Amino acid sequence: MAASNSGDLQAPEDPNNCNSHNKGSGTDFVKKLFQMLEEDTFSDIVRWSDAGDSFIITDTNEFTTKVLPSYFKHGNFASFVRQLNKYDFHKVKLSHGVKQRYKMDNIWEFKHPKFSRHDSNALDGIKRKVPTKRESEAGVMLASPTNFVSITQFRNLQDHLDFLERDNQQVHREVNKLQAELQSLNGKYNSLVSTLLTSRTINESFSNAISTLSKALAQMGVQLPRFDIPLGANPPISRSPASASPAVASSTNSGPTNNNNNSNNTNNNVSLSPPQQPIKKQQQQQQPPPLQIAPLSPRRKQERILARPKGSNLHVLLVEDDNVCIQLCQKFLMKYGCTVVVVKDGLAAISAVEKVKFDLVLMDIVMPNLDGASATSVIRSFDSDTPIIAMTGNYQKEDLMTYLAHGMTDILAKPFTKLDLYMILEKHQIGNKLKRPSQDSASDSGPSSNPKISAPGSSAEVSSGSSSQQQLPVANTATASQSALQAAVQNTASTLPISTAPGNEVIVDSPTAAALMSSGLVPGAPLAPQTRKLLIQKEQQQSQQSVDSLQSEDPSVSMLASDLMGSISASESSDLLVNHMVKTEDPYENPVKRPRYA
Amino acid sequence: MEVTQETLENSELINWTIFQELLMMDEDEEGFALSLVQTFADQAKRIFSEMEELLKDSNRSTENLQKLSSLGHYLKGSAAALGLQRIQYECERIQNYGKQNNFDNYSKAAEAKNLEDWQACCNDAYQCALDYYKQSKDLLTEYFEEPL
Repeated sequence: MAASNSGDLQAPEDPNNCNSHNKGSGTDFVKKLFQMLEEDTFSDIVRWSDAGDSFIITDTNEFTTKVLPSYFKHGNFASFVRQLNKYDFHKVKLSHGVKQRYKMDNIWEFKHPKFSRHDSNALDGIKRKVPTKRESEAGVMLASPTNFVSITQFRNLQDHLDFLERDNQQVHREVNKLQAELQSLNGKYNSLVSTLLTSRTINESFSNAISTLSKALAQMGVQLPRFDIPLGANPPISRSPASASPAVASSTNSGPTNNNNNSNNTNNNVSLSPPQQPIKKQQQQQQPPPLQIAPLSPRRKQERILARPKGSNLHVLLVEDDNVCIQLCQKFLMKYGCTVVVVKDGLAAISAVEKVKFDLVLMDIVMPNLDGASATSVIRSFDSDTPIIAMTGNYQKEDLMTYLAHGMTDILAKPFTKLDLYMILEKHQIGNKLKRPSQDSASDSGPSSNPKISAPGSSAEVSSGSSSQQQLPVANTATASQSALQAAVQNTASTLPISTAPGNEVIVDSPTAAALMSSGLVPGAPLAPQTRKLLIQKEQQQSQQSVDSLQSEDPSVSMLASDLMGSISASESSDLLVNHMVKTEDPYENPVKRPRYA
Repeated sequence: MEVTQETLENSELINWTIFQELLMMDEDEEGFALSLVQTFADQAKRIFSEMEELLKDSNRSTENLQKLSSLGHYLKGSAAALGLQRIQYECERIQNYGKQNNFDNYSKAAEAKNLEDWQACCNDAYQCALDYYKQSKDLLTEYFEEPL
């Protein structure tokens, strides 16, 4: 039978009939058929078979002309057969014997498993077959509950498929992300390992150098404090006996002691230089460690910039594990209008810098999980330009060297004041983004544009072509007194063998200077407290102009003779400044002063 | 006795220049200095009890000393930030003795021969630190008129 050919449905007389049959209950047609057979009105034309599981049309012509019009309101036998077909009735092939019995050739017998005599309950189980062509039958099926189900099923399936597709895509993305993360972790790991190895070599060379040094000193008859160096391990902090007393005590010593210290210092330097040469070489060898992580892709860079808080002039990462320091430093920074992110260890710092572009990183050194120096060297493997300032109370020269070797930009001695912080920001050309916190600190911007000893980190900035930028704030803020001061300082500076920085870029940064000085002179105890006194005096003396300002410009003067400050005269102080600069110049001439990451 | 700014200024316990700056921060955020001091006090209590544990530990080891040294370093930083100079100094001693480094010519440390001796040095400094902490705490409690 070709009844399943849906094209036939479009026969003009057909669709309406189908619709009418199919309206209401889905089994309308079947019910009518059942009714017709049960009533048995035309038993000579159509009737149940003897077994009752099929029905027989004995005369198709009679059926078409008599039965169809009265029960199905049409007279199309072919249409009737198609309907039967749609409801999955099958024509039963008649045996020759049966045909013989009715003595007719046009006998049709139809059968459906659920269609049998007197069994009206089973009729509900007789459904239209699922259509093969959805499109062509859509019009019909909209009205057909049987087909409606199939559409819902179809849609369900489609939804399910969509869901699976999405899910699959998501899984794919996640796998990719994880792969990228794994890669970056691998990079970090490699870089950490190389850092570890590097610092081990440095440590070894340090302990070698120290033992050489101590032997040499012992030969010269210098009494050494007791210290033992486990070879290849961290060298303990060794200090000269002269510096052993805390700063509070030593700062009360005036001129003679300082001279002593100074001569000690130069002595040290003389004897230091031979053993230090190999160290320098070694560090230079280690200097260009093959970068394990490629610099960030442009897309990542873009992401890092987009991740910054909107409208932030200065976005600062504070890496610190001490709540007190966090609270205080955050407050300082916020007073300057910075936005601050705080993390508590080196690992967190690395991932923070990876995600966001910061203008500045303030990094504690001693932290859980990963120390600041190692974290810095990892950060440097993908970010070479963000200034990273070490915050530390350790002033030892070796420490300074280590920090700079790890790629830190500069050092801010702990504890620091608001002003110390401000000066270090100015020094790295980010001070001009700051909100001036108050009138007096605005006038304190002097220190920024004034005599700076080019501290270890800053030469990198200078060489990176930002010198014109650096001069800008100077020009903007220069007052008469400041330019007088600059001139004075340039004179001073030009007498000093500072070759790297042009005159007005020779800058004294007190914390760094303090740190460096203390490494040679008064190590250990924080010096900043003494600088504070002076800063306050400085504020009081703001009204004084030109040369007088020299006195206040360099807070580290107070390290030398803070107790003199009360009665100090202008000329004395400028003498002191020169003195001081001559002294501090030494550490800078040491081979260790160049940052290694540039 | 009433504790005024002058009392603090004249106290050996406090580096007035540093502490003054903290007090000045109150100008734009009232109670900032107090909250900072409270943070410190909480932290100090925790560190001191950790130190006490280590000092009580009869098992003398380099690791224990190293831990004491780290704790000393940590509290030193906090104390320094607030200008609590006496505590700061004693913590620095703990830090150094923990590394078996007699940085300030302490007679007992000069004679230290074994871990036991160094631990005793740490203990001395610890007792001083604790003592200075109590004094500083009392002083600041009076000053802020708030319990710490």
